[in-house]
Amino acid sequence: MGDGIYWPTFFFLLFSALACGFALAVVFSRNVVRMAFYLVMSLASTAGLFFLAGEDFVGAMQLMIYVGGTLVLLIFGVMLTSQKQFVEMKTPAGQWIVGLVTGCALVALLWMAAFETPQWQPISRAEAEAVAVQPTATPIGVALTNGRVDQLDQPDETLRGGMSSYLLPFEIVSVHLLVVLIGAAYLARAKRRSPSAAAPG
Amino acid sequence: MVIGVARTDFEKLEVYQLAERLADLTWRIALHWDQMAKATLGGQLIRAADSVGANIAEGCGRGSYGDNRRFAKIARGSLYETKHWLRRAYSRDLLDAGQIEQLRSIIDELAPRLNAYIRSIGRAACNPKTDTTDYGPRTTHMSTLVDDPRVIEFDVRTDEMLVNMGPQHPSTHGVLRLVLRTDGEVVSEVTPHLGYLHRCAEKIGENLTPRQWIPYTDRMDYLAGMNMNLGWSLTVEKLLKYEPPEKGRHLRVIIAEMGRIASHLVGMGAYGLDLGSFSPFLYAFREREKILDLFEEVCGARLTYSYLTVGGATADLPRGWLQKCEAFLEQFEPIIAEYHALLTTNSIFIKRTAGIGVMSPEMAINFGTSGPVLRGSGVDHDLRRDGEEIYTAMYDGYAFEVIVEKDGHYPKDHKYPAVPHEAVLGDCWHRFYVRMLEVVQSIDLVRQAIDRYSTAEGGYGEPRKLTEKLPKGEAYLETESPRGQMGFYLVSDGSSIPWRARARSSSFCNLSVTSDLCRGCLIADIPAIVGSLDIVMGEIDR
Amino acid sequence: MAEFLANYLPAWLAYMVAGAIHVGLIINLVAVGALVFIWLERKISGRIQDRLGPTRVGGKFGWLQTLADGLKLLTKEDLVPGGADKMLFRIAPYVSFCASIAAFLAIPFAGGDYPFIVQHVNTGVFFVLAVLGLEVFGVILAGYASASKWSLFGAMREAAQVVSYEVPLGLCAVVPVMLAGSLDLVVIGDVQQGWFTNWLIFHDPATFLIFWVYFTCATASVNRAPFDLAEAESELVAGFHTEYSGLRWSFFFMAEYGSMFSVSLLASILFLGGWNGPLPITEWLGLTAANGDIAWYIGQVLGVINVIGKAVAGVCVMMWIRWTLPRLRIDQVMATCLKYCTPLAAAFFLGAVAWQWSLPGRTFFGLLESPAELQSVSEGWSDATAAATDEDEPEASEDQTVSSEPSRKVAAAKLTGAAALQIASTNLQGGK
Repeated sequence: MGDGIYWPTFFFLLFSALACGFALAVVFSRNVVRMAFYLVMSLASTAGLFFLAGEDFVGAMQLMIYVGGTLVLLIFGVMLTSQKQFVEMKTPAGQWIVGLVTGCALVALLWMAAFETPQWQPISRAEAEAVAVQPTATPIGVALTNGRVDQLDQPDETLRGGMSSYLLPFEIVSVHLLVVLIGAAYLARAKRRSPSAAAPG
Repeated sequence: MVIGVARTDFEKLEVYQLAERLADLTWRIALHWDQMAKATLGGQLIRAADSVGANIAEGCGRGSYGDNRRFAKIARGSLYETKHWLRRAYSRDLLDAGQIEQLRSIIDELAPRLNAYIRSIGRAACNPKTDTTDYGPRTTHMSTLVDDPRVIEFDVRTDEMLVNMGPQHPSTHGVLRLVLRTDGEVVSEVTPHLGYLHRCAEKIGENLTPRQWIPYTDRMDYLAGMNMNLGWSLTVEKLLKYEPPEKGRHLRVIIAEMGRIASHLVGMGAYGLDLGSFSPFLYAFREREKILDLFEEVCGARLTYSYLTVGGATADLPRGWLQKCEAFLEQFEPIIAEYHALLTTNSIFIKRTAGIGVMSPEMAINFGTSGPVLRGSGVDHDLRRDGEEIYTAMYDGYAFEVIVEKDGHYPKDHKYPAVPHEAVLGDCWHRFYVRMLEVVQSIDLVRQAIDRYSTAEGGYGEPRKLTEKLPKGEAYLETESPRGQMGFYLVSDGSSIPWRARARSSSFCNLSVTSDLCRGCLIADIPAIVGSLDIVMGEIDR
Repeated sequence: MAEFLANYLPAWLAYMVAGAIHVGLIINLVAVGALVFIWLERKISGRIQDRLGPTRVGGKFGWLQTLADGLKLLTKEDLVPGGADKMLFRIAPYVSFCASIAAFLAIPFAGGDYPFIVQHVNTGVFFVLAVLGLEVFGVILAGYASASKWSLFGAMREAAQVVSYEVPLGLCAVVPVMLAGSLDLVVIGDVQQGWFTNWLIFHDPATFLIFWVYFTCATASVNRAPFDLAEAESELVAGFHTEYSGLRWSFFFMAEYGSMFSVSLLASILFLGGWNGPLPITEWLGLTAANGDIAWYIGQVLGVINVIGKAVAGVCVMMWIRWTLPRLRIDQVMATCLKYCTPLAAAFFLGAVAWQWSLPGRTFFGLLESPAELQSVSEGWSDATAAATDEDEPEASEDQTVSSEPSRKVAAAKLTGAAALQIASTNLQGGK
């Protein structure tokens, strides 16, 4: 690779700046729908980071679930519940403080985790270019059903047994979501007659 | 169960039956009281108890929901009064324990039933199928309706919104303005506002001679100008006691029925547009253009004809016109199957129209609807058969069957597409269907009229003199225009200019049902319902 | 392309130029596609309605009509309603348009070892579906920001529609993925090489039926009649774009036509053989990589013509439907998608699974050809699957017609589960 702009770094910086910028915009915006819009942009930029890292599946997942699904629902909710056309929100000082403390704590935690995990230490550019990215979602798919491909050489028998697959957690989450769906349907259902009122014709 | 306004079977109402039992029971009880109690308490008690049922019955017989509700409320007042007198009787030891138990069981049941009944009045008109909320299985018991006190509400409440639909809106057929009160997509109230096309036609009619007013009638129902001309001409002729010659009579039938076909084609095409289907509109207009071509040949105009006039018509049919007309009918008849394929029997069309905006025959009569709207509800009434002598004389000797569902089926003179099982008599689908069938009927009538016209002797009916003096008096005549009974009223003080000229609009009465038909439907059903009434604002506002 | 350019330019510049060319081509495709489709729509609707459609602009057939319309739109005033949320109002059309274009990033136009594709995303199906879902966001923003009740109704309908069509659409797209054993659109397209009998729509009865479910849901997803509830001109005036004018309005339309094209492209790749024509003409003519670069290139271009031709046919069918059917009601749309399409898609998915399980690697037409073979297959399917699991890796890679990336081999080698191998092996046999 020659000199000049190293595009991965450039795009990393671009997407992370976008993600952070829009995240701040979410915080400082007062209009609920604008917030939602900024959130979409922030999450989409995060998806861009995933694509940059060669994780197409996760990136597409991010787009589909967060950007597509959640936000459509969010806006749907906002539009159905708002009293006026454009809802303005004012954050009281107390909430600012609580939010700042929580946010800073989270940032500190992530910071520590990011810079102290040995596997995540920065590597040189030559090393980075030598890493062959496998553009495949197969390990994820296999991990969901059969076993974790990345842990096949785990020496510890018992540990390997525990790493069979993500099928069970996946199922639990699905059932959980189903329960949520049914709950939502229950809450949103229309008028019903009480059973005792099944009066004869 | 439909709690219609003009229900005659109030005896079947449970509230009424309970009230009857209450009245008879109090009577039997009071019969055994002593003279003093009978004269004071007894009389009052019996009067109050009788009044409950009497008011329910009277309300049922009244003409409107408002009256019915008012009388039902009076019945409730009487019920409370009965209670009062019973309490007095109890405190004066006039009732024994068994009687108290009997009375209490009746009153305890009657009071909530009566309340539910009051609230349910007028609601039965809302259409069960368009209603998105599920009230559970529908029994014939009225207390299963919305406001049953035992209904528990689990609804997610959203804000109501007032929306102006029109006067500039693609599917309000001109300048109708509907104010919708909506809760999400569900419309809870529709208020039509009129008058955006008011042109003082009736006032102008008091300053022109009858023949001069003919062009103004064109502009009322501008989609059926010929039929408007005819209506006014016949009214004036009724006053003049004039009868057009035989040939002119058949000429009028040809022109009027061709006008009906043209008008129904627009109604059909525009209804497709209302439901989001574009192509049928152009298919309909293509054929209508051919009729307009024929009309143009007859009178030079394509929309506002002023052709039929007092005395007959402004001119005879041009030479060769009948052949062209017959050729058109020959070519047009098989095309109707296309319309049926695109709309009438299309499953999405059926989904959008069947069971929507159901209007009971009673309701249709009470609102004064007419034309296909009335016949779509199964009322067998067509002025061409049931009208006044001067109008029915025009169709004398013609073979036609009124298009209406009688004994569970439509006329069987032609092969028509079957009625889908989803369709309920009186819904949008039936109104549309009646129009489609009337097109076929009109084709038959035109063919018969062409035969008669070509063999008839005599003149076609010269127009009367423009400034002819009218005899003193008044005349009112309703004719069956494509949209319903179009009435014209004429009062003359003996001069050549009418002292009063009035028009009774068919669309106006047909439009009046919108707020009742649209209650509880979805926004998308509004064009479906309003379109099925096939209104023309020019005629409503005049 | 970047590698090719890197011979002449510094690497960073080469990447930039390559990227710019790719993006330029895609935008051109969408924009020119929209131009053509709008003209086509006018012609088709004209013919359906007994009219001629545009006839004059640009000489014959009015082929420049859309351009003239575009110029007219450019000169129109860019109105923003007084009460609108101006920033969101202005930005909404671009959100829709960008989402519509972005879907083309991962759609291949020709397959093989060097597919014609902007960015080879190995989860292409998933990516395209995810990005297409974003177009809705622009519509909802537009409806909300317009400060018009009709627009708001349009936006609410759109939101309601989204949650109903996405489920069956995803279920339908899963079937070809399952049969091909990959989320990669290039792999899915290449699996269907050969005669049209190898197209996944003819793979088995279940896939044949699910294609129509897919097409229904795809029509719903691009807001075309009878599912055009968000604009519903007879009810909501113009729905979400009531307040838009000029160029911003036209962006919504470019987005709509772009999405129509992309879902049709997706349909042609997932079900209709993609770049493989009905007959293996490229093989007969020897237009393959084995006969040199030029032959290969011509073959690829034929493939592009194939895939675009099928997609255009899909778009035309959507237009045909639009000008024929009345519009459904919102509750009926939701019922269609959730009550009918979803169970149907699930049932057909199970059907396809059952077929693949009981007759691994057999297509429907393949069965018709040789009933004797069918006998042996149905008797010996268990042996076949057992054999498949025992199959050696080198053998598999020899038969492999679809994928030669080392990564696939690595992944395949690491697969321990019998099911995963079974999918892979049946997939290989399928490409006969």
